[in-house]
Amino acid sequence: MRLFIPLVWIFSFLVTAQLVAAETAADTKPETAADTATRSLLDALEDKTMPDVSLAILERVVADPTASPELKKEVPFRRAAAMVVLSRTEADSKKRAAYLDEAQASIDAFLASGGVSDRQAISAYTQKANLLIERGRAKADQANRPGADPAPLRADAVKFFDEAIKSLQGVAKPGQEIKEVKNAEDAVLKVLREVNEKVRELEQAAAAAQAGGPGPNSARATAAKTSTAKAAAAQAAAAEANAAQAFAAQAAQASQATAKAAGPKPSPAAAKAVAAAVKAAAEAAKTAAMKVATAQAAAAEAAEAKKAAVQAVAAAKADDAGKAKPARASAKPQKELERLTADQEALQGKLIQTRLMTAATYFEKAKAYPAKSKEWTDTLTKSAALFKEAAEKYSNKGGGLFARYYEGRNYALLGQYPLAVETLVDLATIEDKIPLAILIRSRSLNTMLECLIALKKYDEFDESARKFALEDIRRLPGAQLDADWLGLKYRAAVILVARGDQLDQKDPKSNADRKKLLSDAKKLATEVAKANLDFSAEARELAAKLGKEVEEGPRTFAIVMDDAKLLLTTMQERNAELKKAIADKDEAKAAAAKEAATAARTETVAKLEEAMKLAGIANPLAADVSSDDALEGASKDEINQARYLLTFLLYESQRFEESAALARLLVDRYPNAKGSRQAATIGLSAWQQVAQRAEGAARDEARVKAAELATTIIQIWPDEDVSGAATTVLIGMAVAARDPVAIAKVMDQVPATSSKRGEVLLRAGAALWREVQEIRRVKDSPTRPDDKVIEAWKSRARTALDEGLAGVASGGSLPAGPLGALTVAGALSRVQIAMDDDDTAKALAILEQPVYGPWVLVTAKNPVLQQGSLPEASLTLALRLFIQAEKFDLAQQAMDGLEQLAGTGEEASTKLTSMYLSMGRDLQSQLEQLGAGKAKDPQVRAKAERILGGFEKFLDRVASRDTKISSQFWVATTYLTLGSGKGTGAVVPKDKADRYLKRSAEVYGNLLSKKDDPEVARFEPSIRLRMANIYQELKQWDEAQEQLDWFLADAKRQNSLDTQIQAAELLEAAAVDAAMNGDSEKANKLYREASGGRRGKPVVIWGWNDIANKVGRQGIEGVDERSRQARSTFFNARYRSFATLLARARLPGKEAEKKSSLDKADAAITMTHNLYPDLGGPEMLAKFDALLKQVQQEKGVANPQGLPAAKAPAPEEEGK
Amino acid sequence: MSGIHWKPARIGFGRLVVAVVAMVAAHTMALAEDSVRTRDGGTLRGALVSVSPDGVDIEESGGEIKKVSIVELDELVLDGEPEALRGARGLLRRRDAAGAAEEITKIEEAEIRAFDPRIREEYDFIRIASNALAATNETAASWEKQLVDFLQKNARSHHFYYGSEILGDLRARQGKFVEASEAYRNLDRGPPALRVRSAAARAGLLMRQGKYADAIKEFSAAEKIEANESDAASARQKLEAVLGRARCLALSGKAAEGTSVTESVIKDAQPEDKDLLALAYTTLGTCQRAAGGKDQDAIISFLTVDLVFNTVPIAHAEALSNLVELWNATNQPERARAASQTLVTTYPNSSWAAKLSGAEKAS
Repeated sequence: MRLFIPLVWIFSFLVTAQLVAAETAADTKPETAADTATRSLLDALEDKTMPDVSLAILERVVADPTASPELKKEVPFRRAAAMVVLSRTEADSKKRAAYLDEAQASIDAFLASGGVSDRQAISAYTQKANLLIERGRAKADQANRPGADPAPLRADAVKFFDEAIKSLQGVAKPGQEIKEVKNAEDAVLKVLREVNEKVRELEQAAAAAQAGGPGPNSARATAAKTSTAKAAAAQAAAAEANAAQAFAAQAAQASQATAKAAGPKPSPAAAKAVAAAVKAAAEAAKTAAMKVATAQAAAAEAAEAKKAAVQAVAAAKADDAGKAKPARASAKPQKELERLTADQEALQGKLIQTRLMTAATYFEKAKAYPAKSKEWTDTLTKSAALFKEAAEKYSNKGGGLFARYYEGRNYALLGQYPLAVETLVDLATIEDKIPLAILIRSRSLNTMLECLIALKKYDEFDESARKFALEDIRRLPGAQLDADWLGLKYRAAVILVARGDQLDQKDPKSNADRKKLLSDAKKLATEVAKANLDFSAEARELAAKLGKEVEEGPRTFAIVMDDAKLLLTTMQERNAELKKAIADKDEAKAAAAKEAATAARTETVAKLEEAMKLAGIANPLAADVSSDDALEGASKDEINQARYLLTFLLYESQRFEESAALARLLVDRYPNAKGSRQAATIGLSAWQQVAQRAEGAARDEARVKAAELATTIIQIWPDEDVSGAATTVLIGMAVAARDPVAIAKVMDQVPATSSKRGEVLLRAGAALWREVQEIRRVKDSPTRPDDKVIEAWKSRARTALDEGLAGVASGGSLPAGPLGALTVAGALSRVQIAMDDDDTAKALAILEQPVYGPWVLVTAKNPVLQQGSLPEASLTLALRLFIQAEKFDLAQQAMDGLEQLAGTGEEASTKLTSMYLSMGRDLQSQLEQLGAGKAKDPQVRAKAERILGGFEKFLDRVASRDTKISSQFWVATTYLTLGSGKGTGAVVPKDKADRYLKRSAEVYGNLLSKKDDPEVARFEPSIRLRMANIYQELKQWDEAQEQLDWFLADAKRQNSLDTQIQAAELLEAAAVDAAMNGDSEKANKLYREASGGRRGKPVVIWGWNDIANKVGRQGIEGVDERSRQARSTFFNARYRSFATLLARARLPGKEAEKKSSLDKADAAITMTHNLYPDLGGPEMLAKFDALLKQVQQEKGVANPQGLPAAKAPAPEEEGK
Repeated sequence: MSGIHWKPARIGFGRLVVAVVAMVAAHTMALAEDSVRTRDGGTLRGALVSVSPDGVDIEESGGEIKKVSIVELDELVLDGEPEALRGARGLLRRRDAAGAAEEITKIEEAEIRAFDPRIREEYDFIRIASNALAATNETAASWEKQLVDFLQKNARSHHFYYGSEILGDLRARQGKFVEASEAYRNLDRGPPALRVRSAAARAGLLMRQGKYADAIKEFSAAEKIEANESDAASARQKLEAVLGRARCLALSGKAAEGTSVTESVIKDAQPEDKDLLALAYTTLGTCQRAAGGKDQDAIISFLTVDLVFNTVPIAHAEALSNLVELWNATNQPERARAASQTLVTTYPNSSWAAKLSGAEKAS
């Protein structure tokens, strides 16, 4: 089916230009150079297909106070036209629709704005109809795709076409006054009537002037006659030009429509049709240009003649009046008449075009219905009727010829072959040799032959038609071997064969005629077959039947691409089958479909590579410039389409690096090619896949490549979805790398208009805050950034989270899925930052924010907070904040929530304890952070007081009111946290800390008194260890030892390394305390036990020496993480053991043993160093060195040297 | 120097030759007919009676002698001149110097020597002028010498000023700024429009050397050269000087001022003065680029030159060169390549094509 719409498109632009010209002419105010330049540039840009630039210019026009109102008036049309062009280069169907929406909105807003002139209405309604037709066709195309649900799509298409028809088709009856313009046809008619009236008035005035003269004037009569003749010639030329333009437009549209119809799954025939249509369009345009030039020249001549006539009239009148007025006296009305006449012609042309467009729109609408359905038949019939009406009305104009042709074509499609033949016969027999006549004849004859074959009326294919079919089209002006010519030649061959078959082979004359017919048929079939385009397969078969084997034509890029696209369609179909089979749980079918899809994919890749080679591109991945210039028989767009398809298929084939390389090429060199954006996204995924699968340097390289690609994508398409995906990749990488600088950089890169900006900011803000917290914990590291830098990061995190959360809030609801979870995580981070800022009000506001507030969501049991760690994190943070804010009821609710979250059963208590501990650690961290700052600052102290005050009150309240084991655990644990944090000492005074510890021990003690409770029994070891810690902190050594003894009395627990270390530490701490209290004997005993252990039954304490022995082998020989920990324990235990020797040597009253202890320490340290020169690393090495120096000093060495090699560790060791 | 409004007309003569021509014309009036086309579109036909750098006198069939000043003269066609000579002149008028140089080779030099001395002189000028305009670095010195010889031998040619300007441009391209300035000074002998042109050309030399402050002074001086109010040619030349000043302002860090000045020229320009508008939009684009952050505006300005006002080769080449950079900067490599291709194929010998080639090699 040939497509008509191009007519619509091209005409719409011509009409806009005409309208502007007419209005400009009507305006006496001269246009400025800037306006002229802008208008010319916009026109040129339409040809150049640079809609983005057009839109930028139009924005400037709108904002430019110096731009003329006339130019500003054009903005909506120009804008709509640009949006339509933009939509054609957009691969994403949603975006494409959005562009068309915007274009339509632009026109609708203009039409609704009021003050629209009738001339402007012509363009606006025409442009609107174009848009609607475009959309209708898109829907109709979608309906025809495999797997689509056609019914709703077709319904949508019909709706669009109906709207288009409404915008085009007039409602005013002949002679009826047009008061309100609601469509293009009525608008044209109204303006045309006004112009007609003005022309009539001026002509009447001229005629009256002529009639009023004294008699015939030969000069005047001659001028008038010449004028009339020239005007007639000009009109004829204009009609021909009109027709040529219409045909050019039709051909151009056919080319576009065919290309569009080829779509994502074009058939080889469709692809060939595209090439043919493009050629036809180009040729028709050339013809049209020629005709237009001729018409313009004729019109100019006619205008000259008319001018002469009017001047003659004026001069005669002046003569008659006896006044020799100069001819220029009549220049003004004459010029006005010229202008109006030209305008009149343009409007008449527009009227024809509008009516043809309406008929063509019905034709398009028919395609939205299933073929042969009642609706299809009715619509096509309506189209034919409108074309018929136009053909009769404009029988002497170019438009009328085309209307007749389309009318006939519609009859043929409807199967009304006799009527089609009758309609087309005149056009099919035109003998003229001008390009336009040849064009219309070839098309009409092609359709007519189709009908004759169907009717088996072979004899009606007469000698003239046979001669025309056999023409060498290279010798016909303007002719191209397009689909119509190929159809014509193939069908002519079929008819000739049929006629030959009817002849008697036995009769010599008949046989000679038959041979001649078959010879011509063979010639025609061979010609078509060789062209290797439309009808080539059928023609090849026919030629073979006629006795000559037609060799297949050479394989070209286009042919192989057709094959590839066909295979791609097959692959997609198999994939659809696979999907269905999986859904149906039909494993056998799924396996078969998968295999078939894989095979089709492999074959498609091979075809695409072959096509590229045929186009002169040996290596599709090569990014050399020559590959651009070496294209053979393929346009860059086609090559890039092949590249895009390859990018996709290589990815599907898991050839990720090749896919990514191809994507990179498209992004770098052809960012505006259709499919480049999609290829970019595929490229990103491909590098991520490589990174996931590779290791070491290869993985790092893939990550770098992904980052580079993502950065480029953001630069090229800052405002588009693909950029959002790229930013997500970048932020993911920066977060994974835990690199605050990289995170901040991505935040800077993310475009303000990116759809992913909110998501990226939330992710980045939360990650940056996490890094800030981590870095703050690191003290005294040379790599630790300056506090100002850390604070700047915190500030960036705060800003990013605020913006990200504001975006979610403005949306009115929490996004579902991962984005929702990300939002809650971001909100939690923001609450923490607010607490860190001591901005409780802000923290509460976020926590309770209606859309994303974690407290609101967790209490409402929002699905987003039903999984992962978010509910726990939300409740523990809420608990901490509510306590801090002294909102104890809410805090209690949070506790209840945590209990519910922990659930019931054996694991519940453990889980709950873990959650409380987590909260306690956060609280401790908060206090430490306060202490690490200006601990003496009154404000800091006041803040700490507030935090502690809230907790004290709440804990006491819970301890007294809530007797649940879990609650008591929490109270005890939190008191322990508050009292024992080493870093909290700066803000928690010692006496207060001791009080907290005692309170904790008290609560734990109470719990131990409920040992009958299985839950308490299960946690007794843990409670006792904690109590040991508390008593140790409180220097209640015996009580501490009592708890440890309970623990170590159990043979099963004696081998707990951590407990043994704790016991050794306890003994050592007690020794230090005894020494400080002047009890050397006790101290000496405790030091000895700390070092050598205690072997009393049932309690066994290993001491530092045995601890070292137990872990020594694993620590020295192993290389894994546990071994590294054992190594650390080994050297630490050794050090502590040697340190006790020194401590014992220093005890008052132990002088007798001093030398022995010091020698032992000296020898032990030296020996250990000899055995293990690095002593566990630089830090321990330094400690051993310092210890040895103290030993040497105690021994009286004048200049203690410490370890022999301790001063200058080998450089390569430093980094270990 | 851009915006040349010279349209090579006919040959110049020494006094003796003029006298001979006048006599020949008088005797062959009925048979031979020269024609003079004026800038306002008119044509005068008859016999040339006088030719000088400042204009020509032509005697019409009625015996009336009409004077056409050099600034009004658009083209002078000599009776009997070969078709190829007319074609070459046409190409030169359309500023296709390379095409003109090629076209003129169709005329056998031996053949032309047999022609009227006026035609021989015209042949010499078009051959030398077109080759000088299309000269490469390698051939520039040779054509400079031939042009100097021509101007010395034909000091009364109506091509004298145009030839001097071509000479100045050729020297400027070779970096011979002092010598170029001398050549431009020849124009000071002409009417005010040419004096403005001379001053602006010399200001352009300073601009080429980066002496923007000095150049601004010179351009301003050109704008102030005295001329009658009715002297449209001078007024037109002064607008080019204004554009030169605007460009210098932009290049010396006053981009906003340069933009404002250029926009005022565009505002007052006649829509049909495409040559001036080509220069104006090129200047506007330059100002916008110099301002920074206005790449999109600059693209629009240079595209206006590329797609609308592309009749001034030097402006068009400059616009294309800028577009190559701007398209690349705005991630439009395909458009950059297309602009680059147009530049190197249309203006292969231009400094802008050379600059592009240099940039590509460097990268």
